[in-house]
Amino acid sequence: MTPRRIVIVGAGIAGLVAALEARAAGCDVIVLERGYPGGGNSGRNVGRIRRMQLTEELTRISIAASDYWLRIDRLLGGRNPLLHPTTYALVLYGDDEAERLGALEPMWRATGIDARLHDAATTLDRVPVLQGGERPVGSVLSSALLVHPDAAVHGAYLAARERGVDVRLGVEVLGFESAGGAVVAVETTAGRIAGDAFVNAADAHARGLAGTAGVVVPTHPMRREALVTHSIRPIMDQAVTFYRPFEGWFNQTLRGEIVAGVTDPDEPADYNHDSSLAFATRTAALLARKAPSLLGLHAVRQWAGTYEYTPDRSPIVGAYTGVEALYGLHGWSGRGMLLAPVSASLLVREILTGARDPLLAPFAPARFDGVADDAALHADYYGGYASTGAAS
Amino acid sequence: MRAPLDSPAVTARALADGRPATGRSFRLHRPRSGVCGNGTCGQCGTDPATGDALCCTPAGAAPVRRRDPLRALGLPAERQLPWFWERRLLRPRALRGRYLRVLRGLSAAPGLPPAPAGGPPQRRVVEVETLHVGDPARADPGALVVDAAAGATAFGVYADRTVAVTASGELLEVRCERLVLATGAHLRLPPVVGNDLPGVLHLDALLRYSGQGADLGALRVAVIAPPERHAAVTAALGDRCRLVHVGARIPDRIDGRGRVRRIAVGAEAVACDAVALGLDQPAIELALLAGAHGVLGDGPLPVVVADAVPDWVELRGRAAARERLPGCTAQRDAFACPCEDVRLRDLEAAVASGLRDVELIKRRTGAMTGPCQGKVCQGAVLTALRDLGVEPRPMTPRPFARVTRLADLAVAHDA
Ligand SMILES: Cc1cc2nc3c(=O)[nH]c(=O)nc-3n(C[C@H](O)[C@H](O)[C@H](O)COP(=O)(O)OP(=O)(O)OC[C@H]3O[C@@H](n4cnc5c(N)ncnc54)[C@H](O)[C@@H]3O)c2cc1C
Repeated sequence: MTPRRIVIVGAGIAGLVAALEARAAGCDVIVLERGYPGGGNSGRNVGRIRRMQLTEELTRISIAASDYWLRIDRLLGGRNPLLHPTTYALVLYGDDEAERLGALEPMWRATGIDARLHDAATTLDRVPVLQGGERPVGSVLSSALLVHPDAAVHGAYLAARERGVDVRLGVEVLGFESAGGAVVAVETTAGRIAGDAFVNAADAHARGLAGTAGVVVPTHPMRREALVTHSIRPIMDQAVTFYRPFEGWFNQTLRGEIVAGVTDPDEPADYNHDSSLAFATRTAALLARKAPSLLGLHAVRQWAGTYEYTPDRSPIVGAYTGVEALYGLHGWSGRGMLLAPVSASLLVREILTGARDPLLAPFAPARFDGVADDAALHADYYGGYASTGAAS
Repeated sequence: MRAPLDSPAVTARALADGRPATGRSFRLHRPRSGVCGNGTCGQCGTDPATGDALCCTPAGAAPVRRRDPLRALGLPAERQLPWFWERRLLRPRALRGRYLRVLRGLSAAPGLPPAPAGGPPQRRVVEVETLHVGDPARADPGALVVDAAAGATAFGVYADRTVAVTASGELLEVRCERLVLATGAHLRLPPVVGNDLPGVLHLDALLRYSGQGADLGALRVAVIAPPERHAAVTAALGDRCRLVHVGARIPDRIDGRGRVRRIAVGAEAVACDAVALGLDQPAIELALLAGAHGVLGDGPLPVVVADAVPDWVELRGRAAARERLPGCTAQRDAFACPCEDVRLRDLEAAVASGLRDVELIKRRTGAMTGPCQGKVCQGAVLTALRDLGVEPRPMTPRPFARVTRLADLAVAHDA
């Protein structure tokens, strides 16, 4: 039987796009959100949309994800999410990094993306903001996009309301109710709500919610902080990321602000949205090392969000095992703005037709059945891939 | 914030010269002037050589750009909603990237300030019984005093009662048992048309400019303040400038082109060059970061006050004041948030489009997201939203309570 009434938990970019797609397919759709749309990580990120990934599976879905973003304005009722081009610059400071990424070039070529490994001189030439800083050994440069996260979330929220999606704000889902091996309703702070199919798009809270239906997903929340400076004239067109000595990133927004962040390799797995002083000083110190010309900028605000990490840093999209009518749409491992919309669209098609798109094949929840629930692999970026054998 | 000025700031000199506009607004390119006089409001523009606010830069040390050729583009934008780009300007899909590039290039943002010379700041952990931030005259004996006039700035309160302070080449992490905040007040912007005109400023700023020795003798000043402050204002400013009006009633409008020319108070019109507003929004950012709850107070011109202040934190002086401010009829065309050029009517349109949550409206319009981070505008924005039936929940407090140069944060780390 084709589900008629779809209940979605979470009004982030994942839940809202799923809602719009299901509505377009003729379903009755209810979205339950305990806060407000974008109050989760969809309102705390910097909107990088890139095709270049470290595994072929992720690269393929990221290509589809970028294409989906390029035509998403139609779904958003003609609203423009301020999508604009950038260059994604993964800047390398270790020879081991260059070797590891050089080995991925054939995969990037085969998938048709323009990611290429460049030497130090080209890197400094193409990413001039790095001049005067620590000399990189090279970089992987690829064309990418930036989206304005608030514009995207608002576009999706307003379009969902226009199209008759029932978006209920301030309603917290407390758990799923099962009968006869299938989920039949959600228990919420506003009472019980029944449906034919249920989508868990609660991001870092998806794990706890899935648990109420007896489903175990081995994901872990990790705080990610960011800071933003005052606006300046355009000075850079690249979205810079590096992983040595630890992960850091910065880019310029459309409004001209520089947004930046570094991760703390010792950050415990936890829900924590506090801003820390150590983050502010570390970020400034790392910028001093990598892009010292930015140090005259004034920081205006810092904030924190959460990454929901899966053991293989790849998402969880599809029917959970062991219970019917309940679908996961989460586990973005820091890439939900990129991956959630296309994943939501493919998942909705799967829910309605039963046919699974090959792009989603690697991301079934079932791959973690029986996998140890181990939080230990977050500290090293490349290690996260190596430990699952996903990247060479 | 840099060290204190013992000579007139760029903004003080500009006001004295009768050409108060030194900055321009981000979106509409409207001329703006030094409203706060202490680097918090972000209206006066920045010194390209240092990135510091012009109100913290001595006159003569930085050029003042008087002309803004892009104001011509701001004019048609005045009729658009803040999210005008969403469906109009940016539709031609193929051109989207380039359009945005052009738009970005047209913003009134300053250039990249040069990175300051000198080594990284020293990080020092200090443990004290009492940390006092603000007016040293109110400090208890024995307290460690963070005084802006001595070049020290507290920019955040973090976990474990740690207050972060930048002071002459050092980054202090102060662990304290008690935090006393005598941080004074910001301007509570009244919702009248013309409230963003150059020459409209906080009374504190005018007093500061006068204290810096700016020659205000020819300046015709109208002062609007609660009656109990009138005597003090007249005593402080009476012989420093031409006080053409001292009253408690908020003007019905503030007129002028490019700068203030006159105010209308009831039937009376008063010609003036500056409007000094003694309407205080207590400076409670650090208390909120320490865990107090912000709530929109009441009265005709409500301000955001600190509620449920933790027992180790104390607000003193004007930061603790609960003055009753004179009210006025809110005008749709007045600015609620000058940083992002958001008018009351824009907030109205956001609510009319179905948004009912302060956070959504904030992100939709940009209100409270500019350089002042809500310090000047939060009272005006939340009051307007309350009047539109939206629960006036103050925004999540986050550092930086004062804008902080990255160089001043870039302490040497081990890793
Ligand atoms: C600092 C930072 C930078 C980032 N940068 C990027 C980037 O550049 N590119 C990129 O692709 N990704 C980035 N991300 C990741 C991205 O933000 C997330 O992966 C993405 O927003 C996830 O979207 P979502 O809709 O799944 O989750 P969310 O937006 O978090 O939405 C989940 C919603 O579920 C609601 N919810 C949770 N539990 C319940 C419940 N029990 N009942 C009801 N509602 C509930 C929450 O309130 C929330 O609104 C970044 C993240 C951070 C923190």
